[in-house]
Amino acid sequence: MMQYFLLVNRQGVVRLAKWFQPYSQKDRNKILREITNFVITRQNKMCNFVEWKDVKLVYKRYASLYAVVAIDPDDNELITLDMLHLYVETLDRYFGNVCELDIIFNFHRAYYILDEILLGGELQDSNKRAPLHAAYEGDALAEKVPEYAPKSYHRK
Amino acid sequence: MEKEAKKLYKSTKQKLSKAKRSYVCRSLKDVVRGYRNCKTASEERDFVKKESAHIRDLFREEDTTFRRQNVLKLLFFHMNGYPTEWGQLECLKLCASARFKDKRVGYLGLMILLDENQQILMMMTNCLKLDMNHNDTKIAALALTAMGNISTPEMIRDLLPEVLKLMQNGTPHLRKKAALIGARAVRKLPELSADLIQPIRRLLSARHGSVLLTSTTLLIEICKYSPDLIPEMRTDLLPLLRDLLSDLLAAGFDPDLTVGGVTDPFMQVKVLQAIGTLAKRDQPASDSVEDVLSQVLSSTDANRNAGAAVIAECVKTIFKIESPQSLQALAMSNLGKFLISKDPNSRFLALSELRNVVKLNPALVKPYTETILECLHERDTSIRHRAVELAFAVADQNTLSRVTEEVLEYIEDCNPDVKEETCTHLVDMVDRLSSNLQWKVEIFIRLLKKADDYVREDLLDLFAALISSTSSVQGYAAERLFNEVLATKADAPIVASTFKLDRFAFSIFGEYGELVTSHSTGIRIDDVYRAYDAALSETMESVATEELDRATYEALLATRQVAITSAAKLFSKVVEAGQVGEENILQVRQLISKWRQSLDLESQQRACELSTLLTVELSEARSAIFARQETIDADDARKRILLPLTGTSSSLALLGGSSDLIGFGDDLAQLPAAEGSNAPAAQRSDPLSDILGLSSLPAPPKAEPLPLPGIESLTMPPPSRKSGPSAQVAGGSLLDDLLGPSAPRPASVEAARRPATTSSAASSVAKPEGTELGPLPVMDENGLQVSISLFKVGTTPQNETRAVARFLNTSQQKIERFVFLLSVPKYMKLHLQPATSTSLEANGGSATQSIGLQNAMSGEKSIQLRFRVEYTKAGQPTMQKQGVIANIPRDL
Repeated sequence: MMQYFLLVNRQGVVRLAKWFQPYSQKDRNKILREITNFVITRQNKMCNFVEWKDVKLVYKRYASLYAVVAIDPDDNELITLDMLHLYVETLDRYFGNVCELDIIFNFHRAYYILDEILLGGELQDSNKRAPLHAAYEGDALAEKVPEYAPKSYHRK
Repeated sequence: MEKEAKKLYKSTKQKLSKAKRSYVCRSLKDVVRGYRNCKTASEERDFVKKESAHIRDLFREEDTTFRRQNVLKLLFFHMNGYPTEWGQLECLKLCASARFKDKRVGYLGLMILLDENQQILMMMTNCLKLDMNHNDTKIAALALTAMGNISTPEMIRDLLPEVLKLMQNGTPHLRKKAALIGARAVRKLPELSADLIQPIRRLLSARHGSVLLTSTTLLIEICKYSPDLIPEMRTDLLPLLRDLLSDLLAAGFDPDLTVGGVTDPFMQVKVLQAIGTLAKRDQPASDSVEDVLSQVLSSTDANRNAGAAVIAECVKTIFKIESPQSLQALAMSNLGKFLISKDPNSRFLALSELRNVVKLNPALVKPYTETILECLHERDTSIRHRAVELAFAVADQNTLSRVTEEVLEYIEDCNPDVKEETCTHLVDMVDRLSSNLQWKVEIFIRLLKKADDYVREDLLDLFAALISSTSSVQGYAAERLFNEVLATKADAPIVASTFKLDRFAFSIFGEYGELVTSHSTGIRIDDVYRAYDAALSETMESVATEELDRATYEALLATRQVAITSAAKLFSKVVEAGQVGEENILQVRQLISKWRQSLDLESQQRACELSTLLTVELSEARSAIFARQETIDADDARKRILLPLTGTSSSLALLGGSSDLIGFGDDLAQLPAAEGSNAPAAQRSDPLSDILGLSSLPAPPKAEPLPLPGIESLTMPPPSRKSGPSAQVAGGSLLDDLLGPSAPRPASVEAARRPATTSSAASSVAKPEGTELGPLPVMDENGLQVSISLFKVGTTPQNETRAVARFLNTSQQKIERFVFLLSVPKYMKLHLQPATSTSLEANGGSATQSIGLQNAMSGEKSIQLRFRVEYTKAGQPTMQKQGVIANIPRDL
């Protein structure tokens, strides 16, 4: 199971943080501070896994952003890497070529999509279609549907 | 008319809200932009402060138009590290709104902001309950999402009926979420597992992609937290999962599900995990999945990440269940490919997987020893760390020296965080696999030279014990340590980087040095004298305090104290053996006497005591006091070292690599740790301090303190030791009193215990830095005296204080079932060790109990202690006494 999921940029600024365990605010800040130093300083060709305290950190760099997820010691690291990629691909499809700025200004949408892919630290769906559908449907009821969404969602 | 009025109302409202929006409330986008335009951190703070005040005003006015907007702004501030707890209630208000768009933001806010605030959680539970029963599935989905991310045990108990209902009757979208909530529920409340078995059967037979994925997750969690339910599920669910897996293997390309050429790797990994847990320790079940597992290995392309993930999981499953050797061999060949792969991820994975395999069958991993050792040279710390762990586990008698060399090289430049652990593992491995003690000592000296600071004290104890138990190696160790360490002291007296090595060398040489100085070819006694002379040169005192930090200073002092004792011990034995004349004793006495003026109390005390002992009058007593100490039990030291190691090597040591234990490795590995932790702390002796021979001499049960001329007699109860009483009764009790490490000190000596930096103010009223208080009388009644001393130990943090309570029975009757308890206020923490004895003999029977105290408000509040004493005397009812220990100053 995942303990937390983070999107952090190269300067260590948090762009999205999802906690699947009840960490106190103090612990959260501490983890964020320590992890960002740890992960950002790793070199390109090193492997995408770091053992840190009692979790395994799986991270991947996407342009200016690092996606970091902490998993239990007996979880499968490689498939977690693919889960990160699934999320980033879904964001890419949703925003249409996602960049850091999209996530900064629409962080709530990034959360909505994450909530459709991961729930309580486990994978909810193994494809991009269902999470995207759920996000678009929610958008149709709540606010503007992104312009690049399929036409069928532009009901309003 | 009515229609027009409505229209007018609507348009006015719209205009108003537009006006409000432009003049009163900035949009989320504007706020994010405004924040990003701030140039400095203080500008950012001001901006957030201003906006927060604005938002708070609107919240207070119970504004509903901008509530959503404002909560999102708060979330943005929260993400940037600003306090936003005051927004939680607003999120709840949004959740309670009837509209989907409000609820969506509300639940998002709760998921992000919520800590374990009980009141809010209770209100949230009500909200969730209503929404789960809502007709609109989108709203029910929101509620399920929120619950999947925040669920306390109470919430789970309250809402389980709703979740179960949705798990069975909802749309696939709801069912998949409900299944994951079930997984979370089982994790927190395993007793719920039985209720979820039936729903799982239905979910799995529905065969809807996402629902299958999440219900398999639920199945795995149930197996993990309620293993007693596995047999019940095995019969019907295992065939189902097996068929599912072979369907996935046979499926063609699906644009939605294929990742890196593999059909739904996420599902495959989950199903493999589930198969592993269901077929574990069951031969027929394992046989039934054998084919499909080998099919996975042969048909999956490992070159892409997704395929490698599936193969890794499959290998894990193969070693989890009762698989035949042919399948295990196939799995190993896959791991071998990973191990030499160019991709660092694959190498890391192979090393992790081999770590599991080595627990079951070390023989399978041994052929890869060389490759594993090569990984130690990588730059990637993750891989190196894994490799070194594996190297320890895979080493055997044949590869021991090769592995040791590689690890010693690794220790030199490895991450400081893991250095200590690695040193301990190395010593454990060397000790476990080699019977050649000379070699072990050699390796230990090399280790100390490379990583002095990171070698745990226990390891010094272990080697002290090992050397004491084998007479053939004593001379060798003494000679090696002299040549490697002491002989160099003339050039570089005592340096910070080799404190432990120095201490070890002095203590061993003091104990066994006379064995190597006696032969004509051995070490010349002049050289020995020169080494001690250099180590104990007075010039060191002035260097000591100014430039060194406290810990280093303490270590320096400790080393010097050992050196003083070592010198006295060695020379008295050398003289006694007739190797050199009596005049040498006086020479050494002079050397030691210099330290009687030392500003360090401990050094001063030792110098005083030992120079008294080295006088001609006491030469008889000397031989008894300085006699070679008894053999120390090395197993005791080993147990302490193994205690924190739950990793591969210690569990292997226990398993002995026997293959009939396959599958039970995990359970057995827990044993040594559990055993060790049960060992009462009071029984632990300290072999290294023992080796100095001074405090180790066993005392008779009734120790009457014998006053020693010139030194104030201090009452210190005999420490409880495992070794029985020996013949050296008089000398023993004599010295126990002298060197009780925590004995209370006379006030006159206290003044001298100031570090050199404050020595100019020696006569002023300034308090000594190494604070110590006591003994404070706690109680004295019915012949039972209890006192407590508190002191700060130099290396401990500012807020920690140690204490020793002493109990003395002066009455005519034996005191039994004696218990001494303490309690502290909330801002403090208490670690109460067991007392050395629970019974006190009549007429002077005594015991001690050591206590650790942590004061979180050190400096602000003083230590406050309440005590409680219980005991019985023969034939009398249990006596109790409680009260407060007063007069503890604030700076302790």
